[in-house]
Amino acid sequence: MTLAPYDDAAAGLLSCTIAGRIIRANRMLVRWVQHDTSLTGAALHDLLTPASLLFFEIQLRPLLALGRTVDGAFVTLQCRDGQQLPVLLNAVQPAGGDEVHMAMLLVREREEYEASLRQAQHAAEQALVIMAASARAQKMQAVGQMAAGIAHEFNNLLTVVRGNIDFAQQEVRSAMLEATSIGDDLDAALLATDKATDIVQHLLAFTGRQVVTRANVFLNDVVTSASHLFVHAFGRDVSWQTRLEPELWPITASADQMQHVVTNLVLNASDAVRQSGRAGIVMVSTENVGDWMMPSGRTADGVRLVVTDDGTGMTPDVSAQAIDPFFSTKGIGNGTGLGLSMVYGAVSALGGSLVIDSAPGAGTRVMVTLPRAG
Amino acid sequence: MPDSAPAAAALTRNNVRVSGRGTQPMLFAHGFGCDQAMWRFVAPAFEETHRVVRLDYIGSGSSDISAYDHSRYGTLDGYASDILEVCAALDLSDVVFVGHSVSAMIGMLAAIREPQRFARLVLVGPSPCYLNHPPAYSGGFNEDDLRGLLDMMEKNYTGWAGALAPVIVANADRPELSQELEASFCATDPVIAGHFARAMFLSDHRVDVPRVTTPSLIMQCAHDAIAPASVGQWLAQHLPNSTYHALQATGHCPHLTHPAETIEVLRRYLAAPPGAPVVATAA
Ligand SMILES: Nc1ncnc2c1ncn2[C@@H]1O[C@H](COP(=O)(O)OP(=O)(O)OP(=O)(O)O)[C@@H](O)[C@H]1O
Ligand SMILES: [Mg+2]
Repeated sequence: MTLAPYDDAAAGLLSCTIAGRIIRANRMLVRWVQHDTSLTGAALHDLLTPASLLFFEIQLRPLLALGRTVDGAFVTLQCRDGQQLPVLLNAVQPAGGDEVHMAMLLVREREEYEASLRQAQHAAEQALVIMAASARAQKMQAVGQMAAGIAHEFNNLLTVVRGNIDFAQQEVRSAMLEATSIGDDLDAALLATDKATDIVQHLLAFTGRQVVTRANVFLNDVVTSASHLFVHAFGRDVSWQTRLEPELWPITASADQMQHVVTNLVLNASDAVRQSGRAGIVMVSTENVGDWMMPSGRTADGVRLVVTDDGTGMTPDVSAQAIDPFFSTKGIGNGTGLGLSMVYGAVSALGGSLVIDSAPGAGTRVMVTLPRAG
Repeated sequence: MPDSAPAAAALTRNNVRVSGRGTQPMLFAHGFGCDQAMWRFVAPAFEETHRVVRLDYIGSGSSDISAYDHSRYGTLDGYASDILEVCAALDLSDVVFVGHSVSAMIGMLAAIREPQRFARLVLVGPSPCYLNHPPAYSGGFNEDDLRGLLDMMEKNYTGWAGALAPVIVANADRPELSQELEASFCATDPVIAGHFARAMFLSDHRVDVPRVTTPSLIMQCAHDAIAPASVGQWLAQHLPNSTYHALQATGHCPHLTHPAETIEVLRRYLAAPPGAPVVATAA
């Protein structure tokens, strides 16, 4: 018997025993797999590719046996001429019966589409993995920089503390001969200690993602207060000179951060002088720049801080890398190589510029220019 | 023997369920692509006489997939370790191990490592190697077939059809299936399942077979597309102390499709001395 709606349905329809013997199949399915007349009596296994047969037996059969429906499983039909037809399969094994009923839809193009989706998904998953890894790496780097930054700032301040204590010791030794400035040295050491505490606060504020408070800052004040800190730490071979513009314009910045900038530049300068093995000078000057060319290319009013020394100077190779984080020529335990990178970071955050002018034997000039507060 | 902390963890990891009034433990281990619900027509028949233990392999059913370890479960040995850890956690001995399909091999590996724990192995549709190795061994499949299966599984697990998700939707016509099983049945993690399938189909454990000393029953189905009779017969020749029994049941899951015959054969095997043939029954 043929039944038009059954035979000509736009789907492959099939019933078989649970043992896989085909009871009936519609004409559409017969046409798909190119069997001559009918599939009745044939084995379901002969209609499926080996992979599909395995999948059916291992994954779908237990579900049917437990009374589940199979909805939209993907399997491949094996045609007479060797061709394979991808189909979506729905199947059901009615309760108590020993028949399985199936309906199939051809999904030829869907399969390619599917494959491209799967590929895209793999690619996206891989990209996510890579992104997660690099985000972790960046975070670690930031944390590491933070830790190194704290160590670095403390190192600078301890240099000052230690220098002042050295001084105090020497002066204690000659205390009986003349009036001394022991009190001043200890004051300076105390001040440096307080500063160290400030830095901790400052960095803690930074890790808490608080915005650094900016205010109008006069660089001259920063230089003056910083000079109290390190003037004694220089040692006897380094002399110190300032040439400050009395009418200096203010900038908008964090006073603490500016103090770090000045301290770093001055300590680098005094290191360079000491390393030269000769007596030398560190000079700090300030000036107003009326037609400063900003990093953005516009011209504006700027305020400039210049730290000059007549120390060792730098080869082009060293000066090219001087700003890089962790680049240091001072050896392990002496320099962290973060001084200039912190200066650079602070200055560029304020929209300013940093220029280093140096040659071996000719000393170094570091120029920081920041926008005038407006 | 592992200490108690990991032992207890094994019970959670493998969603171990214990029932029954007997003392001798009977441990039911499911096959690939399913979970302990597979035993629902067979295991209850032994609750009167045995202590029935069921488990889900990691990645299946209600197992704890957070305990998944890609390299541990890259071979069937990792799964055998899970079986042994569950035995240790429950302090089981004299165990009747009933394993379907891949679990049959997993049970053999476990029994090789700790023979003192096991009294008998019941191997339902076992195969030590699914690949053909002509001329001596016919596992049933060539490499292309198995690669094709892995590919087909991936398509079904991760494709737009997500076929395995719809597949587990309950059948409204069968309300007698318990709610608890609805929730867990064949909830299979696709990534783990793919890895498990590789461990299962691409491995060759034929060399391990002669090392099993525990008495065993090979339950061979008729027309089993996964474990053909040639494989069952190979096992009968190489597995020491084994009893071969050909079921009338067809297919690969006699415990689902022909539970009565499965129960009957199991009972008769357990009642007879080890090594004795199972007397055929009228199914
Ligand atoms: N004024 C200078 N004269 C000569 N070389 C300098 C000068 N300033 C910086 N350098 C060179 O640039 C390098 C990097 O300087 P930076 O301040 O970043 O690190 P550092 O001074 O080595 O260590 P620290 O972190 O303690 O400051 C120095 O090691 C040094 O070689
Ligand atoms: Mg420095």
